[in-house]
Amino acid sequence: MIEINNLSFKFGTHQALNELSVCIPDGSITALVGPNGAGKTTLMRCMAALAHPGSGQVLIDGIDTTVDPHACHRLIGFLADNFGLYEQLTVEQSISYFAVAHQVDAQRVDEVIKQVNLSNKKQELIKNLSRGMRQRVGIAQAIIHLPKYLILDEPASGLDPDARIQLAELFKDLRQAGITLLVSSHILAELDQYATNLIVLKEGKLVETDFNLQHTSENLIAYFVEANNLYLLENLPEDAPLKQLTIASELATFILDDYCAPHQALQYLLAMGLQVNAFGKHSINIQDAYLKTIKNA
Amino acid sequence: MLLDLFKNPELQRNAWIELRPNRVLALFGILAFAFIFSASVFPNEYLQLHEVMINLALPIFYLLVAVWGSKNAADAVADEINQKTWDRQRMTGQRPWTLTFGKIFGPTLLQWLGGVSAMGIYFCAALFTENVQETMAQGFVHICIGLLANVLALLFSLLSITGNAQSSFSHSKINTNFFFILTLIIIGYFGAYVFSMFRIFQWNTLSWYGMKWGYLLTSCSLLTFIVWSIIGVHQNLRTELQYKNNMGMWLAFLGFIVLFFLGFVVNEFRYEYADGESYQRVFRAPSYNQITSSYIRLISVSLVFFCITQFLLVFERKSLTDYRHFLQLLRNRKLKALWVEAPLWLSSALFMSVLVGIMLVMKGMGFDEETKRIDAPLSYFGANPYNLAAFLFLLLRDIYMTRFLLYKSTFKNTLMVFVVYYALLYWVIPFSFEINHRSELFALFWPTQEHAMTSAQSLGIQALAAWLLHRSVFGPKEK
Repeated sequence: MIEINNLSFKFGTHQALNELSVCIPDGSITALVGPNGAGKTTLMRCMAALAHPGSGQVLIDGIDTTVDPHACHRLIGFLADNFGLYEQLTVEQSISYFAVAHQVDAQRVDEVIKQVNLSNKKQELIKNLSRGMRQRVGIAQAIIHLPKYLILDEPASGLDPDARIQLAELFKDLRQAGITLLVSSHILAELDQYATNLIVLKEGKLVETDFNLQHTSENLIAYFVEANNLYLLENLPEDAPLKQLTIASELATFILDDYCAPHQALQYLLAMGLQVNAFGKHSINIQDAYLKTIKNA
Repeated sequence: MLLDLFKNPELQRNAWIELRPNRVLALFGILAFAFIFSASVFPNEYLQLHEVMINLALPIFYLLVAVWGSKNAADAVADEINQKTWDRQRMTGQRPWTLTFGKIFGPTLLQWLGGVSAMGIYFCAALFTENVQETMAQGFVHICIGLLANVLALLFSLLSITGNAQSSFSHSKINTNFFFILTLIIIGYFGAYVFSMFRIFQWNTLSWYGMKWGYLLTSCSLLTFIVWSIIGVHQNLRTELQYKNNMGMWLAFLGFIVLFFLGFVVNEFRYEYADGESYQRVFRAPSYNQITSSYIRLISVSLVFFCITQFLLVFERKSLTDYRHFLQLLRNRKLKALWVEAPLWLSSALFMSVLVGIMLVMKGMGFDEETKRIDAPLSYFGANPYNLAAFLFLLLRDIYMTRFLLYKSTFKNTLMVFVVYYALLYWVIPFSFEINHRSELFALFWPTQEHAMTSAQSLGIQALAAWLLHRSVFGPKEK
């Protein structure tokens, strides 16, 4: 787990991060969003043990990034927004370089090349690759040492739609392979494809969002209920199967506990005495969630 | 450490880039053409073939290694930052020594391949010279100068990058041209000085702890400075790779500087008429007694520390956060933390202060006569106690002013701000008075023997003003 406690970072007089605390659970794909200058890249660099915060701490599996950055580097792969590639090397040379530098077996080079679908481009010079391919090389370099966490800063910017779809698939594969991902992006629509969690930053602060994304293969699913007497939901018991409830006039939205099926939720609402006019899936996306959070901030 | 040289990913990466077959073939093609052409055209009855080869090999070596190689070395880390690959390297877990050798020799592989080939021809040609041993020794000195140029170029560029928390994060490009040019100037002067010394060896004008300065001492000194420069690169790369450094290695270097420069006594000479017709060299050193000689050595070493401190004030770049942290530690007298966090200029300034203190004590002990027998330019600094005080005030003023300019100037190009600051205070203003024969005004900015008291007072006031300015933004009440 990545744990961030009261993290602050200053550039001169500019407070890039301000008392930020958040956790990133293992096995998740967490989307990091926020307007320009919100502190996303600074946060990622602090998490990658590349920048030292002014105060607070980042713990990677309990290891403080400022106390033992090298141990953290072994756990983390980081892909900067420009991918950080050696243009004059071939794909194979470039990945081999990082394999030698990380002291991993040479056979891992072929494994990674296969994992990112670059087997047919091994001998190609990086400067001749498309942006989508370059980004795959960047990811291959970042995961060559089998990191537990992969941090990606704006990985999809500049990619065509086809490459974005492939990227989403790659992220899902990496998650399947046991890697926890943190992805920052401006393109919110694409995050719907793979994100399981959402962190919203604004002016260096965590915008408190009670929005915990549930993830199916394609959509983030919440449910809605329309009723005249929604006030009955205001004091739900803690063990109620409805979570992250939001009530607005005659419409309430919520997500369900894992054990609760939709029909059970409806039975629960009716049992509470709710005069239900309508009930159903409320398909929302990160863009809605982001706009809602930023608006409320 | 040696194993690092051969299992070095950075060397391997650079070999892939630098030693591509087309580049190597082009290099050897040009070299072969240059040597064959020169060998067939230039030799004549006055200029033998081996002389032509030596005369060609040296400029080729300097052009390839000292100029082109130094440019590549200066760019070694800066290019990584500009191309945003540096963070990746910092995360690979490469050890500092591995990266040190990789960064020194990696980007200069092609240049050294060409340079060593040219020097191979030089050494072959040296076998045919009248003084084989001397020509060989000179060749070795040339190679050392080339290597020193590479290491210094990398070291200077690293100095301005390291410790700046935003260095690899900045969106602005790091331009190393300045450091490259600075290296060329230093190496140019240094090389010229070394070889001019060879010519005047027979005059015995330079001795080191009583030993005649010659090829052996020159080579040993060069090798020692190369080793120290490599250690400097290593220390900077340790910082970049987030290993904790303390002041130990730096203080060891300063100790070495003291020992090294204390060894020199320049046997100054002047030409005087002898027998009414011919000039004769008249040496001064034999007339120096122990006290005078020691005093001259102390002034020389103080000047070296003055230069080192000024150099670091300009080029050592700690981030504002780090500087504030350092001031906090200083105020709270947390010596253990200061041992790790203090900027390098602080210790060199302290070394200089101690040396000046020793000179003041010597003055106080009644050695005034002996310590006045000093020629210019040393007399500017050590002729009397006021000069020594002025010397310290000068440094204090620059410490406070440069910190203020570095951290509070609104100009983007801090280096240019420094150039203007130093040009105005050390050159334009004082020398505009000097050329108008207003030496009393010149003394307001430079310690002079003639107006020593004025210099000390003026520079003292300037130092106080600079301290107040610095205190107004970095004082104890700063939030």
